[in-house]
Amino acid sequence: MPISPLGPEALYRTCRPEDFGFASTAELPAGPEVIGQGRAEDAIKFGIGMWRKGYNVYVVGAAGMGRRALVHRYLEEGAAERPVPNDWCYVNCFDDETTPRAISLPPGRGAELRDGMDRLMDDLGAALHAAFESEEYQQRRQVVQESGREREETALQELQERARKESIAVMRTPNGFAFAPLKDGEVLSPKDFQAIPEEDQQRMQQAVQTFQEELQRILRLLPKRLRELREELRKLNREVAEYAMADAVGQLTERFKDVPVAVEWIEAARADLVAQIESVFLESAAGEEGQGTPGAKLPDLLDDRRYGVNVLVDHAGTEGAPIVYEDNPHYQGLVGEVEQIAQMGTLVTDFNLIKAGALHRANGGFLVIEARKLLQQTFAWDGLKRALSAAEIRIESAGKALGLMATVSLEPEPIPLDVKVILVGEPELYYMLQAYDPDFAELFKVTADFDDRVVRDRDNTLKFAELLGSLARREETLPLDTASVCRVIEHSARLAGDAERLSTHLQPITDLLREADFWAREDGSDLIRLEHIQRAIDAQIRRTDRIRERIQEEILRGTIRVETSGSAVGQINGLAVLQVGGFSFGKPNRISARVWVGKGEVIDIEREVELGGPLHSKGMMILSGFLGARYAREYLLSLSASLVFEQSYGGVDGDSASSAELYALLSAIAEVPIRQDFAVTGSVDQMGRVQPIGGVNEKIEGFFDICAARGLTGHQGVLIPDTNIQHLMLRADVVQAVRDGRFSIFAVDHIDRGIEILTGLPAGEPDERGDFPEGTFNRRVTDRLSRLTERRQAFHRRADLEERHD
Amino acid sequence: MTESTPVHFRRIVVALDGSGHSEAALEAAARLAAVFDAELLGMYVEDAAALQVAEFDFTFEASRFSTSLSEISVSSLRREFRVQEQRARRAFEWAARHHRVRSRFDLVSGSVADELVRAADAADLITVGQSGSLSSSRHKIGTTARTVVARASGPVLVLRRGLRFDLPVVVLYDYDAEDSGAALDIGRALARQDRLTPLVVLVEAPSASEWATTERKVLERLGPEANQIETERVRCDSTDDVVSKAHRRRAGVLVVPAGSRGVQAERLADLVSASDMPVMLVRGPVRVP
Repeated sequence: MPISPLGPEALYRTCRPEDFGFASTAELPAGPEVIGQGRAEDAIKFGIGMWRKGYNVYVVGAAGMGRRALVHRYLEEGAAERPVPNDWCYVNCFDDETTPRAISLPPGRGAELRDGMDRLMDDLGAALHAAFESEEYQQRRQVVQESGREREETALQELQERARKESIAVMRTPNGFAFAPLKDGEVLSPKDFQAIPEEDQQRMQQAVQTFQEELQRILRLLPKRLRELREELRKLNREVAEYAMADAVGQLTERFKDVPVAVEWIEAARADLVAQIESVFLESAAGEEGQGTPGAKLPDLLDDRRYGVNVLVDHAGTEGAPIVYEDNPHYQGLVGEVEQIAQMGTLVTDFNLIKAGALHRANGGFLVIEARKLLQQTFAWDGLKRALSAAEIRIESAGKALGLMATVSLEPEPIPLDVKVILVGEPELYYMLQAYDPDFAELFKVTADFDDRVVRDRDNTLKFAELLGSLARREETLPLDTASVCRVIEHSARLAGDAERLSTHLQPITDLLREADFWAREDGSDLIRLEHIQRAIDAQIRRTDRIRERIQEEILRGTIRVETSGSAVGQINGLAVLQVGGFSFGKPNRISARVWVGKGEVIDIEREVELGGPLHSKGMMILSGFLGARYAREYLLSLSASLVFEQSYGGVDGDSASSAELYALLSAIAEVPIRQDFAVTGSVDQMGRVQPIGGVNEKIEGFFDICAARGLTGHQGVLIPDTNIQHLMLRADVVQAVRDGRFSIFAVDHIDRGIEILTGLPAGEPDERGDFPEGTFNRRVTDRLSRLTERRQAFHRRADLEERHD
Repeated sequence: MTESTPVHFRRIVVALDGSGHSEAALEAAARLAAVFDAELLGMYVEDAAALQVAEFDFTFEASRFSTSLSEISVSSLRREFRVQEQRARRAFEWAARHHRVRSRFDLVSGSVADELVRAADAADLITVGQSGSLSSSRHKIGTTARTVVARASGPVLVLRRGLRFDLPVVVLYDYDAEDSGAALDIGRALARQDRLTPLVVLVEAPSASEWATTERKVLERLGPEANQIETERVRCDSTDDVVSKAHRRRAGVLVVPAGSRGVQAERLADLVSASDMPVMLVRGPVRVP
């Protein structure tokens, strides 16, 4: 039974304005951010609500599908229900300044503590200055020093006095002291000494020895006495400092009595300051070199950098949980960093230079990151994983985290991490992470998978219209009238490559809207109308179709040979889809086949020269399978055949040309010519059934354009798989040509149907013995194959004879 | 009150023993020598009495940084004196060069105090370090300094380690002390180094009613000065009052008359130890060039 071409109604599924109850999108209520993403929405809702370790969310979908807008809406809802997290501050750890302490305070209290400490330092400056400059302090200090000195001096003076009474003088030498006998207040010379009575000499000598030893004993005690003096001064300084600080520190402590960690730290700071004052003022009090008053050293002691509060995260004014979008997710930007400043040619740092990362800011809330950007940054992914796995943020330089550097820097105390990370990324990245990173599944247990197309039913069509209304309002374009809405919906189906589906990619639709708005305003229209949408679509194509035009031009000039009339043996028009930038178009391609006696192999020239991809090779092998199983079940397949895409200089992949290749091969075997005014697309299975392919619309239009340029004859057409009918959303001029009978599109389900259209011969069904009836195409194939077999056998016989003869 | 006399130091003696205190005295002396274009005379006295002691075979040296007594001999002691003298000489030469003053270094042997008093009497000013005591105290004034202060006929400037002779000059004026006028004259001469820094005079009057008269006397004696004069009442018999007022004025040097009640020789030690600033004691009429 001859197959009829498809009618125009099968080629384009229109959207009817009368299905809508509005005149323009201005009348429509606010629409959803996306349509048909129920699965992804449920996953996002679940992920946001499920506050447990590892339940982070990966939002899978291509860019421009409204992923972020949807995530944002649910995050706002989720964040509002969660408490405002605590502030985090880094403060000095007085026991070990290289490990700053992290302290957590209720929202807004971090800045309060910082300001409180600043104020406290100012107040303490005045209070300590007054205390240590006071006459009372000076006097007490003097008393301590005097009492210490007196002990020492009294001992020395007593000694000196006793010596004098026994006529012994204490003499100063450059290195110490010596004792000498005196007479009448004058030191005796050795000669005079000899002159005094022996008895006196011995007494004095004995006395000198005794005093010497005693003095040495006194001098030996000096270090101990000095230490005691220092201890007493330290105690005095501590008392005075504590007294001077008590009031101001007490006030601050009182303000933070509900925050024990703050009170504890203020106490530590106080104790540290007292200790500093003790020792620093000690130098000025006890040191012989010390000059000036202790107060002069106060500004150095009350160092803001030592006693300051570095508020890393301040949630004063935050409502609900924070939502942080990190657009530049580099390693340090995520986990924070310790900056350094140059001082006298050296890099130095302290806890004041610790800077927060996105994880700090998002802690207690949500962090949204684009997966691609994250993976492009060195160490960022590892850093994020480490933080999530350990549930803490540890600030380390990338070099240190990798163990490459061991310079002395700060090791800030890690901050507990409780964050929900939402990665937004393309499906390829998702599958790659799933495949190659074992941690990924542990850390991102929730997948929100965005569908790139939705069913084109009435409900979704209406939602799409509402979505268009929302987009128009958001983009501040003119409203769309009903006809233009219909055209956009049809265009969306065409973008999906499916008459029964709509594309969920919003970016191209938004672009179309903006451009149509431009043309509408040029026209002075108050609505975007059908012609504006069409003009925008045409202009988009026009802007991007230079390559298509060049290729068509070369075909029309004959440089690229594509025949659109007549018939030929072993030659057929295949159809390919090329994509340049974001624009796809179809291109006819001549496929040729040659056969000769051989041992049953089909040579795919593309594969031989490594221009064919694996899918193409697969198609070729299926084709060989079909050929052998159908036509050479009873005897050896004794042909060799070669197949090639003529004038193809780039790579070929996909199996969508396998049916065309099979037609060309069968034509070459059967030596039956094929119509050249047809082009063919469709893959084929081992049973000869024709299977669907992608890009059917572009392929048909590609051949149509060449035929139209050469003049439509009414005999030209395209063979497509019948399963592709549902995908047809063809251009209006193609549909019109079909309606006018100037172009045909045939949908076939089996190679036999195609062969009949292409050769005009019946294909023929095999009888119970597997033989095809006389006069059918398939009979010609089997006849030729058996002839080739006979020749091959004859050849072998002759060769055997010659061998024996030799 | 005698008439005001212009002061000019022609020769300044500094007592050197290589200690930190004497280095402070050296710096002050060199600076003043530069200001007054005076000759700077450095004195190192080798203590003859100490050398005598070393001749006894039963005397040993007790030293602060040694746990046992060490033997001394004349030769070892001379060596120690030489080292000390060389250190003092180097410091002296450096200071003279630094301040570009005419200088001479004298090494003499004898009683330290006697030699210094003799040198002071032949000069216009002597500067001494306060050290020399047996104790480690930074306040205690030593026997040598004490003797020089008590016996020198001219002005004596006492410093200790770490102090710097500086401006402003604060002069104590005691209506009852005959050297008050001379102290004023010296204070004025010292203050002229920098005309922008006021000269401060702490004035003791016999009674509140006579304060104005006493102050007028002071101003008259100072005459038309380039420096601004600031006066303040003080009680000379209270060391604390003098010291706290001088402190408040951030005195760089305190000039006191020898005859004042608060600074009679035995109490000068208190003043020096309490004030923590260079103190210049002025005795007798100022010598006229």
